Amino acid sequence: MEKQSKEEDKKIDVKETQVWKAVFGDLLFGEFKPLSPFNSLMRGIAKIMQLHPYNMSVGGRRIITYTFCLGGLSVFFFSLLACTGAFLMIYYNPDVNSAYANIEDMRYIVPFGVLIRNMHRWTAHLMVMFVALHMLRVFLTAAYKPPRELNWIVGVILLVMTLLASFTGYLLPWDQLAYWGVTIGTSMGENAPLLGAKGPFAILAPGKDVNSILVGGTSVGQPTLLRFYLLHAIAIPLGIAGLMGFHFWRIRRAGGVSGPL
Amino acid sequence: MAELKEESKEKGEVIVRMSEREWEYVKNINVKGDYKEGFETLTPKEQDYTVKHLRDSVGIEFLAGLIFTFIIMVWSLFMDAPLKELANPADTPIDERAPWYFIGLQEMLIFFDPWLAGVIIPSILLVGLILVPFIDPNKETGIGRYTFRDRPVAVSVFGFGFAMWYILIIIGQFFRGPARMFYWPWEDKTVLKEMPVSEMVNFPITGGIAFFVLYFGICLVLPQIIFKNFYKTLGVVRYYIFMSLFAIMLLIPIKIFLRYVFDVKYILSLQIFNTALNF
Ligand code: HEM
Repeated sequence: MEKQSKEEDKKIDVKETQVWKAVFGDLLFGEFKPLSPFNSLMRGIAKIMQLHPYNMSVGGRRIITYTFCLGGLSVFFFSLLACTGAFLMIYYNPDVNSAYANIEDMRYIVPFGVLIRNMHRWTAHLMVMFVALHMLRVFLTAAYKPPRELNWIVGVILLVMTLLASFTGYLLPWDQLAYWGVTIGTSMGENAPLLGAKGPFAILAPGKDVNSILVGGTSVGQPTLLRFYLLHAIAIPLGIAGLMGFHFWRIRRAGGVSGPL
Repeated sequence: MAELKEESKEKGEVIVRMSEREWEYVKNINVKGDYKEGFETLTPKEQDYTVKHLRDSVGIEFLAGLIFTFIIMVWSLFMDAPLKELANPADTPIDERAPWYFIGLQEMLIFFDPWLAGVIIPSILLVGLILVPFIDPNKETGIGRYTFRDRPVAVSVFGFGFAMWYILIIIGQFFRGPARMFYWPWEDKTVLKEMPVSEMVNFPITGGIAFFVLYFGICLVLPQIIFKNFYKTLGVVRYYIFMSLFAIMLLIPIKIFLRYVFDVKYILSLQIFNTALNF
């Protein structure tokens, strides 16, 4: 008997650690409390939407000021990027022989092409900036503290994916700016310790290191363009969208954006 | 929209500004008085009363979306996204630059070898960011409001890192010309500056090792002795993780300073097997 209870104590210990609680906490075992039993139909709809509580406490709501909208604006920029990006995809072909010409067509021939391309580019800059500012506000309002640690981590991944989305898109026009900007960026992979061909303690040959997985060869070329295009137009946006859903769901699970609890 | 005016610590009361509609709703539950234009004191219990958030907020968000679409469209009408000549692998431009959000990393390439600047430092940065919620020993203070006084260490350290990142970006973006040379805004960026003639020096190996031992010694041990309370609240593991990350972060401005003032190329340059490890 005694032995058993001791073992149980140990098990419970793991679950009491902050890391365990952050990752599995109320994700698996917690209960979800709607703020008030109000209009059950509307609440049902609101619950499906999961984005806004139907009702919100006055105390909680009073803290929603401008800086608490930075995350929401990032979402907005993301959707704008998806719309304008879909339009750009119609006229763009990830081929080194035609990519640049496609972009020139966009500027001079396609109706509203230049407007859409500009919007896509500037919105991307805005999104990177606003995601960083959103992180700053989350930190300064201590919103990473329990029970929101997991959401902070998801946020960090979202930040990285936002940067990667921007970076992979940077190559697509296939102009000098794109080519050399990306050459600098990917040359970092070449210098990774152990796994990069030029890094310290390199164990992999040039053309077979981590960098060449990313670039598809020893230097930026057609394989890189195709890879970056697929990452930029399919993989990363899907990843971001999925993680965003998780991000919002976690906010609701934590009882809405952080107020003084 | 309900808006915070003031908070009284003792009773947990807050004074908020509410719209008439919100006030009507609170009043229904809590018959207390007339709507006074302006501010209302709410006890903790009253703060739990709810307002119809969904109805109000979706409208506001829609409006915000429209405004930003408008701003971006006007911006796009008047400013074209850059497009240079066709990519040419044979022609390396003299002013080769990464996109602005990575220019901080490129800026560090000037001071560190690529494996440090491009791989190790960003990785440490990411690990540090992910660890933030677990390093912070204080699980309650300051949630949901801006406060420096209640979390001075957390806010200063994060603020320092964030500011450094953006200063590096600004320098890289606006103060670097051809060949990544430093240009003041009033200097002509089309004229290639002469490379500085001064030779860069390395610390001798013993000096370098001594520097790092001393540096990390001071960073890890001194605060432990001086700020005993700080050490206690963090606990051993958190303390060492936090101080090492902090010390590493501080090394970046230190190296930049050493480079500019003493022309130090590497603080420590090791030769292990066939590989040069330069710090
Ligand atoms: C694609 C990027 C991101 C999007 C679209 C996004 C979106 C949002 C939104 C809409 C909210 C609701 C509150 C608000 O708007 O401030 C939120 C909250 C939050 N975000 Fe993000 N976010 C992103 C990146 C990040 C990053 C980089 C971090 C931190 C490293 C982060 C951590 C959090 C946390 C902890 C909360 C909860 C805040 C609270 O409860 O007060 N997010 N996010």
